[in-house]
Amino acid sequence: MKSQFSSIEADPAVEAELDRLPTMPIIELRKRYCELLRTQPPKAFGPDLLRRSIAHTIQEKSYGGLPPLTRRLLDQLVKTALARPNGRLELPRRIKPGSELVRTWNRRIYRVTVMADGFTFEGKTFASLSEIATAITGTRWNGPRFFGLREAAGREGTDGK
Amino acid sequence: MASDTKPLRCAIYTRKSTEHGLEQEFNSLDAQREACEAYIKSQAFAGWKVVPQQYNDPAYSGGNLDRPALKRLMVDVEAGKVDVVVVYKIDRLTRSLADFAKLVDAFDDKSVSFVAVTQQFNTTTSMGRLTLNILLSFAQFERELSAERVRDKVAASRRKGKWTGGSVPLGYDAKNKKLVINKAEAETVRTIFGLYLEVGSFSKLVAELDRRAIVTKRRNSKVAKYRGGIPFTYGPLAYFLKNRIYIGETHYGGKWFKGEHTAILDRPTFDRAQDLLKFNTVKRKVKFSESGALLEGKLFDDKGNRMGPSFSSKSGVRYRFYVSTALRGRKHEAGSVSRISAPEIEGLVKAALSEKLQAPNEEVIERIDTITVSNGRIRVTLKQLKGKQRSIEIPWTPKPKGDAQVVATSGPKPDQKLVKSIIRAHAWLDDLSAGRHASIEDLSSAADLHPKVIRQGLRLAFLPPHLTRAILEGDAMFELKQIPKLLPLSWWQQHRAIG
Repeated sequence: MKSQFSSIEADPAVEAELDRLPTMPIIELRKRYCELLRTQPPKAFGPDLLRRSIAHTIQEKSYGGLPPLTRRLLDQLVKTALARPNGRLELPRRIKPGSELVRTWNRRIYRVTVMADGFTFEGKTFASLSEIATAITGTRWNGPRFFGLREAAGREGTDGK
Repeated sequence: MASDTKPLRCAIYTRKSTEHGLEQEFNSLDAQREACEAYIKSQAFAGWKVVPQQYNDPAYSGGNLDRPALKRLMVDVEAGKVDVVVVYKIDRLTRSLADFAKLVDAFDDKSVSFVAVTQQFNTTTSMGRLTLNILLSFAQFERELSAERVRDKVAASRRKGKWTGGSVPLGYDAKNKKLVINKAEAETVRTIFGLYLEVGSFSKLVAELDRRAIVTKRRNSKVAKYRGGIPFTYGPLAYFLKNRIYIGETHYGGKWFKGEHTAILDRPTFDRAQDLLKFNTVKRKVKFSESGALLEGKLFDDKGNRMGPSFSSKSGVRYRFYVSTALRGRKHEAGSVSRISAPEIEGLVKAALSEKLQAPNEEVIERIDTITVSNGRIRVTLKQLKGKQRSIEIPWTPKPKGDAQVVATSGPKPDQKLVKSIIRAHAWLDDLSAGRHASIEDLSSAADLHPKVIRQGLRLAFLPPHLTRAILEGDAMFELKQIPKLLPLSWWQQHRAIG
């Protein structure tokens, strides 16, 4: 990522074009936006937004944009943000690789290590926490919930009918 | 006052509590109305005018607002069709202080004034209001006093054995406010009692009555409602057979007194029927464990809350529990164990008791008085046997609840604010690109933020992809405040400025 970016040399042609953008009159900017994005610039875009959009698109074309998985995550988050403009933004909890999940169950302690692409439990690698939870308990469990990564919403309500 | 002022529309409201005298050609309502009309005429110089609608409540109590004409009047007041409400005396409007406050509120709302023809006072002054309140207090007092008088009178009459009205029982007619025997019906009464003593059961009695076409008393009431003349059912039969009216008694306040009316039955017959009724009544023991919860009603948590049966189901399996009733909204009052598996505790208790008592499993439950569950032990108290109370303790600890925790690898914590700002920036850019907002100013008023904040925030939508990714995946090594206010266009330079 960072190192990956550092290894890429700045493209002089791209840098040169970016340097021209700040002095470009707005009519030219609109034209350039039209050429690059193949659509009329939105009315709300002033010179700064036009410049930034153009610069971003140019660089995406030569250096590449967001990886598809990240793109999808971002789109998802934006969609929820747009759906509830004034709601609190809940971010999915992400556990970094190398972290350990510790769960006590039936007086025994179970430890699971988070890997970049799965979880290690008792020497074996699993794709999902649910599989591990099922292996421990013998019944179907929601893995993230079993390992305390998700609040059990509304559980109190089902108590004592 | 000038005569050219806008005419004041005056509504006359009249009321009378009883039906007494209403049949007369010129009754109290007319008298009230006439007095009001005369008063309004006297105020003609001020533009007072009677509205043609009449608001008359004949035979309605002043104790509540449930009166049709008054309701109509209030609707018209609400609609602004009335300027002045004229009554004969204040107590015609209401005898309740509370209701009066409501009415005055409603009148004030529409700037409607009200006038009592025979009671002159000015409610614009404090003295006038005081007078009004005093008058109403007396009106209410009068009403309560008369209600009390009636109650006392009824009580005294009943104790003396007088019939004070109500539905007339089978076998009697009401004549001159007295119960007199209806010969045909009295015979029916004797027949029913005789039949009951003969067949000895309600089901047979009902069948027999149906065969003989004996039905309940047919009543004629003024208002349309349930009027009898239908086949007997168990409930009315029981009431009928227990009614001491038939041995010449009246009741008041749950007590029976020697009545003025003639008895239909002789005492021995009636008493035999009562004995039979008592004998036939099935004493049902309050039975728990309909749900199969053996310990229902016996189980308590260590703070004295009853633990009731409950269950949950999963994939067709029913898991039974006993749950402290404190969990229903008073969680903080629950004992140390608020929920226990039903099979577990039932098994434990049965096993422990049958060992101690040397009795089979089924019988031991009967001997239990109460069971108290606490963390560490279950205490079973047995029913008294020869005045001795015994209790048994069963050591028990609830299964510990499993807990989960995350042991995170060390390293910088991702800045949640930064992630949110990035998402917000992309959402704004989306909004503007899609034309949902025509300008940044539009967006700023919709988001309730200053346009400057939005302009500043938007630049985060144009971060180099590797930084955006690092931020979203929680690997970013920097925080929001480290991002300069002015970001260069070039990713290359941005990276240098931040990293």
